[in-house]
Amino acid sequence: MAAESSPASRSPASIPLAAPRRFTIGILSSLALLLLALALTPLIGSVPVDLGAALAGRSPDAEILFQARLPRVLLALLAGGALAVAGVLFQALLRNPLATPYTLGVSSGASLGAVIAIITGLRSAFALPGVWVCAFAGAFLTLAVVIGAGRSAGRISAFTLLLAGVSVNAICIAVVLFLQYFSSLAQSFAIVRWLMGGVEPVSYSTLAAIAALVGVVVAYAFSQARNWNLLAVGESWGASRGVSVQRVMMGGYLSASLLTGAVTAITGPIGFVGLIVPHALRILLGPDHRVLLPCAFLVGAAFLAVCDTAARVMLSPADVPVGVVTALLGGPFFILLLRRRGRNL
Amino acid sequence: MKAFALPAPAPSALAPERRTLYSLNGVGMRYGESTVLREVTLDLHAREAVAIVGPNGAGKSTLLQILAGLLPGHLGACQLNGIEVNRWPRRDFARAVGFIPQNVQMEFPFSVEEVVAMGRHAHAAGLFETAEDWAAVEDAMALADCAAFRHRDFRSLSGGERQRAILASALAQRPCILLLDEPTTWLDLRHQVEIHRVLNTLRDEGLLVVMVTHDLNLAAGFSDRVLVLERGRLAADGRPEEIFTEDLIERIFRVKATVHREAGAKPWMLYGR
Repeated sequence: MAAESSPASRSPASIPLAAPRRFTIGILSSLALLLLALALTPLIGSVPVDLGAALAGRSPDAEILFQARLPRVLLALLAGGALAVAGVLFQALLRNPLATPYTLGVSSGASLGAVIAIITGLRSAFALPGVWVCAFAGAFLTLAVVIGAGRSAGRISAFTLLLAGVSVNAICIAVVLFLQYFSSLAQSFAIVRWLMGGVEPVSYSTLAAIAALVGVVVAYAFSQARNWNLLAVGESWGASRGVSVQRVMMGGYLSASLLTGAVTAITGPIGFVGLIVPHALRILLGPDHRVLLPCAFLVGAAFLAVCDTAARVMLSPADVPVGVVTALLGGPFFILLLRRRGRNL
Repeated sequence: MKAFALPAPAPSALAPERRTLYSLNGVGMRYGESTVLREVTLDLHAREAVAIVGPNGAGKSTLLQILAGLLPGHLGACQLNGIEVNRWPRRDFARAVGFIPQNVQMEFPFSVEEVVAMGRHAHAAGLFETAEDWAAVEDAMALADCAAFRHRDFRSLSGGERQRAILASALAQRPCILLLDEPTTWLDLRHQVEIHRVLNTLRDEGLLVVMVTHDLNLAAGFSDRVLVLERGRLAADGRPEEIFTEDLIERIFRVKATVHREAGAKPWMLYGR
C-alpha cells in the first residue's frame, strides 16, 4: 500500500507488454494458418489439379481451379471469418459465452426468408438470386423485431434481447416447419438442403461485394475493440469508464448481424464456427478483444476453408454439408482444449 | 468538449478552497409507481469525504448511481461542474468520476491487471496502453494492494480481493471524484483500515470521496459529512459528531445504541445496549 509511489520513477523495462506481444504472436500465427489454408485447399479435391497447367490456362485444370474451387475457398474464408467475428461480438455484447451468431434469431429469420423464396419460386430479385435477397431481408426483419422487443425506454438490455431472440428463433423455425409441411417434394428437398448450409462457388463479382462488406464491418468492429472489453464486463462498468454504451452496443449488434445476415443469406446456416473459434482463441490468447477479434477473423476463415475442403473430399464425389464437418472436426478439438485448459474458459 | 473537463486535482496543491463539484436540486427517482428517492437538494465539494447511510431501501445506491450518471431517468437537476450529469460526454465524465460498484459479475477470463487497465479507457489514444497508462495502473494496484494477484483470473478471486481490484480500476482512472458503493463489505479488517486510510489520503489531496455504507462506525471514522437517507428522503446532513446521536439511530435504524464521544475524536457506537 505505497501511497507515495511516483510514476516517473518506473523504468520502461518493468512495463508489462503482454497485450501487444500477444497481439503480434496471435496475428502472425493466425495469418500463417490462413495463408496455408488459402494455398493448399484449392489444390485438394476429388480431381487432382496440376497447378502449372492451371496457371498456364490449360483446360480443364484452369476451369477447375479458377471457376470451381478458388471461388468456393474464398467464400468459405469470408464466411468463416465473418461468423467467427460475429460470434465474438454477440458473446461480448450479450455477456454470454454460449452466444452464437444465431442466438438472436438472425439465421432463423434468414431461413424463413429463403424458404419463402423457395416456395414462391422467386428466382431473382434486384439482379441477385431470390433466395439470397429474401434470406437477407428475413435476417434483418428478425433483427428489427428482436431489437424492438428488447428495447425499453430507449435502452437495450442484453437480457431482454436474449429472451426476445430465443422467442423469435422459435417462431421462425415453427413457420419454416409449417411451410415445409405443405410444400411439394422438390421444394421440401430444396428447403432441407438450404437449412443444412453449404458453401457453393459464386461469381467473383459477388465475392468482391461480400469481401467489401465483411472488410468494412470487421474493420469497424476491430476499431471498437477496447469498447467490447468493457461491455463484456458490464454495461454500467463500461459507462462508468467512458463508453457511450447505447450507441456502441447498437453499432455492435448491427455489425454482428450484418456479418451473420450477409453470410447466411448466401451459405445458409453453418453452425459451430461462431462458437468454437472464439472460445478456442480465448483459451489460447486470452479474452482481450484487441487480440481476440482480428485473430478470430483469420482463424475462423482458415477453419471454415479447411472444413469445406474436408466436406468436398470426405465422401467424394458426394458433397457433405459443411456444418456436419465443422461440428465433427471442431467438436473433439474443442473438448480436448476444454480438458487441458478448462479452468480458464 | 473543453467546457466539460474538470482538471484533476494536483496532489501537492493543498489550497483551502472548497470548490463545489455537484449541485443537486430536487433530485428524485421513480420506478413505475414506486418513488425510491425524492427531493434531495445539496451541494458536494472538493476535498470532502461524504458517507451516505440509511436502512435498506432508503435510496442510498440510487443516489450514488445518479451521481455516477448511470440512471438517465432521474427527476430534478443533478449537475456536475454546472452541467447535468447525463449530458456529459461519457469519456469526459469518466476522466472526472470513478465509480466503484459493490461487485462485478464477470463472464470472461480477464486477469486482474486487465480489469485494472480498463480504468484507463477514458484516457486511451491508441490500440494499447501507453507507458503513462501502465504507471497509473501500477500506482492504483499498489494503493488497493492487488499487485500480488495481478495475473490471476478475476473470477477466481475472493470477495475482498475482487473489491480491491475494482477499486484499483477506478483509481487508475485518476478521477477527481470517487463514488463507492459499500466498498468494504467483503474486506478483512486490515484492508478495511487500509482502504479507509487511502480514501482519506485522496480526500486530503483534494478529491471528493462519496461512500455508501451500512457500517455507522466506519461512516463516522471515515467522513467529514454524513448524509442520512430514510425512505427516499434526506433525513439529516451534517458532521458525524452532530449526526450520530442515540435518538437519530433509534429513529432511523430502529436500534438502541450507545454513542461514545471524546473531545477531539470521532464518535463511535455500540448497538443493543
